[in-house]
Amino acid sequence: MAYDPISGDTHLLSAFAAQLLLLAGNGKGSEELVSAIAHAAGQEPSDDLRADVEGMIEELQSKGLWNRTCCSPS
Amino acid sequence: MLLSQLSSKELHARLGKHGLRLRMGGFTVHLNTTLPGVVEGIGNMYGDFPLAEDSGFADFHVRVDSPRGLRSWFRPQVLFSHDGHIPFKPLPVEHGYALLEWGLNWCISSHCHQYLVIHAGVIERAGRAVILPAPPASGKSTLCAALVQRGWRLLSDELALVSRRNGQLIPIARPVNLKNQSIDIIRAFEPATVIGTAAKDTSKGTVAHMRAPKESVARVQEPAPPAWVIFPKYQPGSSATLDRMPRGTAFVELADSAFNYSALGEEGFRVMAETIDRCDCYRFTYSDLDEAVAIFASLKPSETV
Repeated sequence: MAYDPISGDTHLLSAFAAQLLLLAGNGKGSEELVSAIAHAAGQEPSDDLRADVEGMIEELQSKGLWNRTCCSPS
Repeated sequence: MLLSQLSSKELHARLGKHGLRLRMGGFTVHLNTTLPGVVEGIGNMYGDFPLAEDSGFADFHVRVDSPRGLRSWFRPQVLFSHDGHIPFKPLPVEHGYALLEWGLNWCISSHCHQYLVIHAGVIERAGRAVILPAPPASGKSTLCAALVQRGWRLLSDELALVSRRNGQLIPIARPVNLKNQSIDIIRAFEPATVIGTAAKDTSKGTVAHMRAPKESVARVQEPAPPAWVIFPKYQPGSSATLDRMPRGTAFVELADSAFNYSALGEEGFRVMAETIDRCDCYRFTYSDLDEAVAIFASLKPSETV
């Protein structure tokens, strides 16, 4: 779950999006995020994963969720 | 002193003059009415509740009375007022007690933002509470009434009050609002149940209130931590089934049932998330109350059911 304090909207996120937001909350940059997610999945960073991460960041940005949400593991 | 210790005459006199301050869990309600049906309802339903000092603080000043004027002679009506404000249209005088209960729900859900207020029943056993959110006609109150007749403690039939400070559920143990067929179903399920006079032809059909069990009222100062969120659904002919629900879905549906989730903003999100994180979440379908009671008796505080 993610809460947008600007709009007051609550969003139900996919596990991937939620993980990305939680990691981003720890101050990780894009490449670090790719590494962290690959590590969590027991994989090496790949171009496919990089594209997925960048695509998801764009989607979260388009919804205004990137860098300003409160996340819950729920 | 408990309300039941007043004689009927005293009850009428006090409600009709300076009013009566009644403690309902963490709230004190200052009640005024001259209507015999409402006085009788209060006497029937709140006998185990303690009175507060006559001149003490009250959270809500509530009056249920007939408006003056010609109409009071040919088709008497009843008005609910809170602090002199009249939030609802008048109803037929026969609906006076039901209007009092609905009005009290409104008072709490509209003003008590120290809690996350959710439209849900809450029951507790062995120190763990179940939140039962549901839209009208889902069988929530019937289920709640049956479970509190079988050993569960009633915290509330209508309003889950989640403390913003510590996430505990705050009891109020007011009467359970039964509608239509549920009234006879609960009478048959537990003949000893005290059910007040039915109000017919209300906007919700026939409505009657079930008195909260004495023990629930006696323990109204004991909050309980939430352990389960269970969305009940009465489905005729179905066997009782409990199906696990993703927490995210439960969050969204529970937030939809909250009165002040949006008003609390980020704080509402935090309290809701913490509540969901503490709970196992299920959908529950049932038609038979004995089966339902058995399933609830098998709830375990861990992940397993």
